[in-house]
Amino acid sequence: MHPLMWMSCRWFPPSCERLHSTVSTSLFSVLLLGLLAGGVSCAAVQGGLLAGLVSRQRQPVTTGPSPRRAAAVAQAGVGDDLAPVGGFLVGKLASHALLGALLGALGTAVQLGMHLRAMVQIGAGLLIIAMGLGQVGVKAFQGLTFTPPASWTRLVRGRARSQSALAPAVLGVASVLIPCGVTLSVMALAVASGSPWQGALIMAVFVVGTAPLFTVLGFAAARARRAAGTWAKRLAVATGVLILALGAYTLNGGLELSGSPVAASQIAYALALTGDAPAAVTGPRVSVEAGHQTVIVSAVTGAYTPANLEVAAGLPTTLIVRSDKAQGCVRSFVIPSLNVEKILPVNGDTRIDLGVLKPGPLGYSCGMGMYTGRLTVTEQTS
Amino acid sequence: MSTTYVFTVSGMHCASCGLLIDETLEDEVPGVQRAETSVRKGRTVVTADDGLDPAVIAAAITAAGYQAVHALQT
Repeated sequence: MHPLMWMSCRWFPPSCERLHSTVSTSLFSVLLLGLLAGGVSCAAVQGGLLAGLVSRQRQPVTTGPSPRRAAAVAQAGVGDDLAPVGGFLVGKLASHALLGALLGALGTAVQLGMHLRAMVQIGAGLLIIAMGLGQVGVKAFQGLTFTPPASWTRLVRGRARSQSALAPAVLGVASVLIPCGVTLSVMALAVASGSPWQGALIMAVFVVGTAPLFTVLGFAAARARRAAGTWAKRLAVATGVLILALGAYTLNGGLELSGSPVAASQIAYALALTGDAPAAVTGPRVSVEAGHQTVIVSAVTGAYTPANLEVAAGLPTTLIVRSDKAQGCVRSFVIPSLNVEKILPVNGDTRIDLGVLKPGPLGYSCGMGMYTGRLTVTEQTS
Repeated sequence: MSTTYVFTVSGMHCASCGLLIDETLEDEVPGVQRAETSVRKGRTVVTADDGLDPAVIAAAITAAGYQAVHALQT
């Protein structure tokens, strides 16, 4: 089991079942996204706001505008800098994790039905792709930002002018009110996760990821911001590319769930990329006894095998999904066209009555649409 | 007396950018009384003391990492 997954299961046992499904893939992408975004996007800009707050606190008696602010900050030691950065990040972590939990809960509420879940995931995927296009510099998508009400920005600005020792942390909490495209993408992922725990975890991991570059580029470079020029541009593009990948991945998950013909696995079948020719009807995985067909598909960690099985139409059929040390996503088994959704055991059989099959492909996938397989139902000539 | 300057600003990607420009101008440019940036409109409205060179304001916005063009003066 992945260490991150292990931690989350240990800390939040109720979340374990759902966490298995996506955690290993998306959490790492989100962490990576945070690592890159910490140097660009709103994360870096908020570093500038924090630097302003700290410099004002260090020269509280000046009246009017102060041209010496940069010099005042430069005199402070490294330790003096890290305390407000730490406070800010802790505040930000708390507010973002809480929002992530709320978004995840919202996702749960609207994802009760499988088709709705697919729709939510497709919507989230499209939104994330749009954000990513804006981030890599496609003009038409750059205007696609969330404009917070003026009262929210005033509130954040008021926090940045506070003299309180807790001001950096409070500013961190308030930063949740002024998200940019990158943060919005992560929020969409939190909704798509469909679990409060996972939503909170996705948002928290993102904020933790922003910490290193936020500290180095965002806060420290606020003093000499110009130095970051070309670097920032490359980081912005890398961030955008990663957002696009996350968006495409989320979108495809939704397409797989809805059984769409343009989902990646379906396209792979169409192009015969999977190289998995239908297995022989006489194989031991498909048997017919007293007019009743039984099909056995194995579920192992990360795959259903064989990916494609040929079965006979017109017979009442039972599908047996045989778990063989199955871990993670594969354990959530879904047949979209039949509205079947089952949680598989790690080992053992799950019997699913498919009724009398009609000719054509019958696709199935895991709950998040990451792993797929199909039965090819054909008319028997004999 | 004061003068109002309007700048067209590009390169802002979120609300934080607008906040940062306002903070920077009010804190770091002597003579600036008030700055208000709209990210959606891509515009910064600056109220400053008479006689302040708009190029100084534009330079401060540029230094913060954005592109500013002086558009209007009233």
